[in-house]
Amino acid sequence: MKKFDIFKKGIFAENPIFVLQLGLCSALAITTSLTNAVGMGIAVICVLIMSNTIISLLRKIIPNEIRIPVYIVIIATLVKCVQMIMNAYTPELYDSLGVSIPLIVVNCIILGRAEAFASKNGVLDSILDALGMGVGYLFAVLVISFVRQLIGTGGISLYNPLDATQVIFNIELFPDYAIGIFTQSAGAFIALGCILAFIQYLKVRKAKKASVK
Amino acid sequence: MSKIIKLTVFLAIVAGISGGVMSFVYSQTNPIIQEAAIATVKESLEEIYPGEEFSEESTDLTDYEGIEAVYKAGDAGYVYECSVYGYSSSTPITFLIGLDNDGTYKGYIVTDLSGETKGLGSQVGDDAFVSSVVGSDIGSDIDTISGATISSSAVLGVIDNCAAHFADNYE
Amino acid sequence: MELIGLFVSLTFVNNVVLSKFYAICPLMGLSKKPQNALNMGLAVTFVIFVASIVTYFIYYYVLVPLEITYLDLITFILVIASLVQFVEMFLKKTSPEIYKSMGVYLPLITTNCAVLGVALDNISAGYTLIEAAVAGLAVPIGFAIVIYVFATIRERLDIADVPESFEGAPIALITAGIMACAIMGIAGIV
Repeated sequence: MKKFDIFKKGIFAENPIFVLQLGLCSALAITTSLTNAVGMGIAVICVLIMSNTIISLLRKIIPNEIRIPVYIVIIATLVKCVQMIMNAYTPELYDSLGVSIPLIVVNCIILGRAEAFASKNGVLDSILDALGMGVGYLFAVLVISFVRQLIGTGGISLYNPLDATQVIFNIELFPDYAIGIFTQSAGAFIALGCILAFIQYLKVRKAKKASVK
Repeated sequence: MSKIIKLTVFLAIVAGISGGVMSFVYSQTNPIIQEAAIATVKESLEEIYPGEEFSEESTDLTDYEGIEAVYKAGDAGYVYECSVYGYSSSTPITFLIGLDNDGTYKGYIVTDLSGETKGLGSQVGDDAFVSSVVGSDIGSDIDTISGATISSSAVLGVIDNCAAHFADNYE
Repeated sequence: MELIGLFVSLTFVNNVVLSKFYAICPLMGLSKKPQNALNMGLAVTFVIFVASIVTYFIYYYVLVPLEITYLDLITFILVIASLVQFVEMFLKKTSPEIYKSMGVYLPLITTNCAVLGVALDNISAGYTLIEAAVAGLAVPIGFAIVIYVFATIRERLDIADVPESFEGAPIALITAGIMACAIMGIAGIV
């Protein structure tokens, strides 16, 4: 498999959220604003790259019978370190992401890629896979947040996740016509459902065109 | 049998390395987190214990209602950060109370009274009440304020919890 | 009284599946047959209940006194993994049909956000042992109710006339969204 393909597949063809449907818990929980989505996306990319790298490096010496517990220990360590670093250096992002940060440990994407890819491939390929999946995750949560924030608050805003006082943009479009439920739990389900329906519509249309030919 | 031993040893080594890594990151990040946590209450802490070094205590607070955090003030004593609902059921009264190692209440500062009725519940922040608390022995009975019984008994209840926690942990 | 309020709150009003988005993977994956949903609910109830109590003791009697609370994540997840392994072995011996019907979702209870989520939430909310135990029962029972109702709805959805783009996951998610709206309606009770 060509190097670039390994990276590319994680973004569209095997997008962890839209196609593989892993890690939905976090995708619904943190997508209330673009800032949260960017912050969480960066955290997930960091954890993914580090975990894939380490597991790929150790793949030949981890005994097969205990590989899952070993992966879990490695991932838990990485997530805890990321949590402590975020608590110290990005306290506002830490507070707004809350329990979603430690829950990265049980995010099926990380363990899934470790088991499906990093345990069987070289380090460079594993890094590319992690990068692709991570960017795919970031892309997905950005799309969901964009929809939820736009419809739910009538505006779109992005603050620097690393420094909450820095505003990158803050556009208010139709605050009076916002449908508030999209910022709440019910809206998250509905938003993701509609986005997935749209993606499925595109797929069905592509398949119909292909079969007509 | 030796297979199980090998697997256990491997897992133990991985766990050991993980523990070491986390311990290192903790030692680097914890001071920064402590600083930030204390920064918000630092001013009030220094009013009660000027000149002392403060650090947040890691302790089991589940049985002591109303206590949000405990800060160690050098060798002099401890300051309890508390939060309790008085008359208002939406905005709690937040205050800091210093418990000195010599057995008295060293200081008492109310940081948020906005939910209480002015002139009634707000008396928990007045000089008269403050002076009835500061200097008294830890655990002694302090009178509630007549006319503000709900707010003052809520505050005094939590102060008693602080005294209990102090007695259980630091005496 | 407070404990009853806590129980009702965690089971319905603040149902972890519909308001905190825990346990979405099994919700989407396992819920086609109501019987499977019930079995999953039972297994998860056992794991979460025991995990809530064990993690409480570990946190307050080991991690806090030794000032190593940064080991909470790793110790909790290892406790959970061991509990799930135990449930797997127990089911394999006593009821192989249930074991087979649950398939890969049984070991996946380890990565179920709800189990780790409840353990972490109990600590951050400062629950006492009794409150943690109540939460450890209320949360998975709420999860079981939701996943069971969801399964019965999905049975009907499969034979209903759903637009092609919405078939499968999309309509399931929208159904979950409507269920979430329903519990929002009782938010004022506790």
